[in-house]
Amino acid sequence: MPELKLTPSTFACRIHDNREKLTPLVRGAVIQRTAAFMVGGANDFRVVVECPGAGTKEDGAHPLTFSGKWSRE
Amino acid sequence: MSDVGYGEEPTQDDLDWAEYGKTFTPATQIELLNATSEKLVGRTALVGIVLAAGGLVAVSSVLANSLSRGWAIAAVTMAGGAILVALVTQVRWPRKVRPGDIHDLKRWHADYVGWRRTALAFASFLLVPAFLAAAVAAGVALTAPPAPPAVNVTATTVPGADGGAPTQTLTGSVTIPAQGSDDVAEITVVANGETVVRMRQAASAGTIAASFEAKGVQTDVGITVTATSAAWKCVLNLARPRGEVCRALAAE
Ligand SMILES: [Zn+2]
Repeated sequence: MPELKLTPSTFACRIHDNREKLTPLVRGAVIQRTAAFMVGGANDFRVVVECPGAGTKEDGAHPLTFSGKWSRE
Repeated sequence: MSDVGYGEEPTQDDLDWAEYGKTFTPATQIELLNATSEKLVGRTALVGIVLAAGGLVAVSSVLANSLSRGWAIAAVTMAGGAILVALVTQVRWPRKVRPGDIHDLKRWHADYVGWRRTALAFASFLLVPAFLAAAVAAGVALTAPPAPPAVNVTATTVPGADGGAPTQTLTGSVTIPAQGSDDVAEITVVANGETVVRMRQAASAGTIAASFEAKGVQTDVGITVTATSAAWKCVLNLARPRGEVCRALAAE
């Protein structure tokens, strides 16, 4: 699997300082591949990942949508 | 660094599609392959229905015309190829898998899914030209002029029992293009002035086709086969079978 370049390259939550956790989660969601019958492809992405939140009961995990473009390096 | 993408609150549509994405598991891929393979085998039967134009043309008339026969053979060959490929993907070679070892499980899955996916994609693609060829074959057969009428009769001499005079057995067939589905042909065989066969044959799939047999007919007598339909009259004299046997009746 060749390295994918994502634009933007860093992903963050507006509320929580979780970019170190969110960036690999988005990356993982984009590069995940599985076998399927072909219908076509495009190089823009839109993924839903869980922001872990602040890790407390009141301020816990919540889903976030990220979008951008990918390309092969 | 300003190259940062901020997450947005997911819409219901985002959440629905994300949920659907989670169904792409290794297990559903195998289910999809098996379902595709079974559907392919079932759908090739439809090529036959297209070939007969849903029952409008008899398969025999598709095969009678050399152009439509070529297209029919192409359709059947491609549909047969698709079935063959689908059947091959249903073949399972035995192999031991260690399901607790994710590496081994992944290798097993890749082996199972890999070539089957390509083969089934090819087979499903093959069905498209097969359908088109079947449709062309049926279309050519539907629009082609019908085969000309024909009458055939063969006499076989049978030795007489207990030293008696030998007799002959007459076997024959009549094929006349039908004038509509309610067209009927009246067929008679006369030997030595005596009627030995009298029958009526109704049209089926655009053709009137009949066969007859008469046993114990005296030898060395004049034999005449007459077949009359709405549009044709055929008279065959066995003694002189040359010449124009069938002629079109003038439209009234
Ligand atoms: Zn957050």
